[in-house]
Amino acid sequence: MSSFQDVLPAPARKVQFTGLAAETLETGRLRLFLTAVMFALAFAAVAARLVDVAVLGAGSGPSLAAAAGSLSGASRADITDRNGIVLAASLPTASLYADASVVPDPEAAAAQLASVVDDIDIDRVVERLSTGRRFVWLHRHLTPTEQYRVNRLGIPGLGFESEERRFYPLGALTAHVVGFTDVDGVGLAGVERSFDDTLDQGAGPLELSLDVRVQEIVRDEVEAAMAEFRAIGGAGLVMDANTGEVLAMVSLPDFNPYHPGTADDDRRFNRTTLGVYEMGSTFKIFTMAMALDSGVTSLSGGFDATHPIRVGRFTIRDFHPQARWLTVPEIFRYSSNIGSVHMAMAVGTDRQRDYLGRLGLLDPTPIELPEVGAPLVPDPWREINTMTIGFGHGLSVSPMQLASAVSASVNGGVYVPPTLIRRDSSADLPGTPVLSSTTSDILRRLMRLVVEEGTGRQADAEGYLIGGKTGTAEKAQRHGYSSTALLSSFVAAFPMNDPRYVIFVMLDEPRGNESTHGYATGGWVAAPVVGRIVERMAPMLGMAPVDPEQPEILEALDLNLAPGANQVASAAP
Amino acid sequence: MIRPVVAVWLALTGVAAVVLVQVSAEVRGLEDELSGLNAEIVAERETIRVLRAEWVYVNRPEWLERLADEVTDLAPMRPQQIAQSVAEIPMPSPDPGDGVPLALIDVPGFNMVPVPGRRPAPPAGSVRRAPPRSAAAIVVADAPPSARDGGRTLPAVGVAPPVPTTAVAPTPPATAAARPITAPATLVVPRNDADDDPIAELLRRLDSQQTQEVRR
Repeated sequence: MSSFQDVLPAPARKVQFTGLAAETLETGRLRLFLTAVMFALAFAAVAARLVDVAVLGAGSGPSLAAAAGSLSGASRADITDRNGIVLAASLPTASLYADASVVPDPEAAAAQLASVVDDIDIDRVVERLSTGRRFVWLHRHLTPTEQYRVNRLGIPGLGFESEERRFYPLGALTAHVVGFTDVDGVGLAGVERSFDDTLDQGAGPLELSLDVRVQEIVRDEVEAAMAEFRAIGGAGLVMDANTGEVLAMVSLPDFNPYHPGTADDDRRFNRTTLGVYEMGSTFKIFTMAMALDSGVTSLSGGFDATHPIRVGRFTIRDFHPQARWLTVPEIFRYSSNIGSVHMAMAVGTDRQRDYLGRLGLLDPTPIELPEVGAPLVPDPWREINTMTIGFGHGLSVSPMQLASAVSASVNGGVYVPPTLIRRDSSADLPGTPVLSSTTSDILRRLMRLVVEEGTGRQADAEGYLIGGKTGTAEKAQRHGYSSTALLSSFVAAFPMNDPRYVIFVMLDEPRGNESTHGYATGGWVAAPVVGRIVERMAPMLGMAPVDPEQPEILEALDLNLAPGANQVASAAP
Repeated sequence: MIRPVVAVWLALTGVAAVVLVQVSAEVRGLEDELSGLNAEIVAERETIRVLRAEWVYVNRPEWLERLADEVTDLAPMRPQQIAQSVAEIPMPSPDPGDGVPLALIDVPGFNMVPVPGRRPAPPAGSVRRAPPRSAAAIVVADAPPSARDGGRTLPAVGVAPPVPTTAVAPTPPATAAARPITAPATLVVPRNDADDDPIAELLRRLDSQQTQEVRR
């Protein structure tokens, strides 16, 4: 625009005004000047805004473009297993509504709808369509196929409203791990609840450590064993012995995650983490570990298991009584309660509590689930508790705690907290050393011995070098322990020369049948399940069977018994 | 009277205004396009999510297991069925004893694989047709009856594979020259003949072993 000088005609020569004329002229100039200043300011503002918009301003374009990268379309993130298999996903669904005043023939429309939509209530649809109201819900959450079919019917007056719903494609298979949400998508149980906020912020899918293939195998086998032995419940757990990742976690009976409300409490009860049980003989692994690690005995040592131990009104007996001096490997192999009690007494109360605490057996397991049961720890911890805990009674722990402690016992002595979230293989593992690697090595050989020629022979799977320990606990009831209600379990690791996986199987109140000669102990009902699980899962995880006669494997699993150990046993008084 | 400077300024303003309007219209169009694309992306991703969930659903292990039980003879793999390498698989002996020498060829990744050193003799009982002398029409006409013999009718290339490998075989077949490599149009190969197709025979034997294993 033109400047002030261009507009005003330049005076040809100096004219002197005086008096009123000069004043008037002065006023006019001032007004002109002020007006010019205001215009200049206005234009400057416009120019500044132009520069701001055109040069500096980002506008909405770039943010719009950037948004394209993160358009997930879902309000809640997926949950997947370690191989990316979707375990839970929020999917858009269409809900069907109608303008009842437009629908021509309610009865015909309802009949047509019923032919394409499953579980639609015809009477209710007719009733609602007959009201003549402008908006009535007909059916919530149609599947895409159903929506397509309803669209094809071409009934006037129907419409769809987009909604979102949480889907669990594998149904009950992972129900106890994944959990469930309410209708608004708020997590109420399982990982859905413990990671509720993360899932709602939902950048990417939440990757669990589970492997659904292993999960299915474990569930299938535990379910079959439950049916065979008419057990009231069962649990199965597969854990990576070195990383603490849980590959499978099964608690039976389980529930349908779409209808958690209709399942009874027993079905929703997670036996692997929430349930705490007196585990029985599997605890002898830890008694053995602390006795060897603290040096109170060695492989060549032994204890007198001739006579049952009387404490107060209790008598501690052996299930497979040998009634003689037993060497340390024999105590483990025959699962001798008496020997284990002597061993626990030799370790002492304080050291026992210390070791159990470091193995994570006295605190709730740190697994990422809201359903975690606190162990039942005796308080005060008397000598009688030391004795009974030596063979697995008097201290109730969850299967998850037991599996983590067994992992620590066989993986070289490092306790790694269990996790349901896939670990980054490059990241450092959290772990605390609790046992010496020598102790761990001996425990591996002892556990292999149990499967080779001890109480766990039925768990053997050719070529996979399973080692383990049976456990049969009598369930505590109102009047002491019941000899008929058992909790039979088997905890194992394989391959025993370099353990990769720890497996735990438990059956609640199994009953023996002809095939087990009426026995319902861990070695008869739970050990075979572990063997079958290993046979099915190991090839799937790319583990080839090995020849157990290879020199290096024989060397890794041989028990270096002191010469003459057996003579000592037979010659002992 | 408009002075030239004013005229220039006015012209520039006009041009700027026109350009501005054009650019903003263009931007608005692009933005519309972008949000349209974004909506499409959202729709596609939603579809993908639905399909992924559906894929997992139709592939759920218990369902696959039921299908495998009903439709196929497949059973869960046993440790005894796993071989670490092809070398562990029992191969037919290099000399089956019927006078047909076998050659060993080195198949990458499969170690040495025995193959017939020369084209097998016609199986006893089957009639080999004389090579057609003139018209190909005869071959076509002849083909169907041979298929009814209970044997397999293989195209020429189907029989040929072991033979061309003689190029790498350590022992070139002595009789290769006697019989032309270009095989006759049809050749009856009975199913149970082991000599001419060691790999198929091997698979058959493994198959029968496996079924015995399962039955046991």
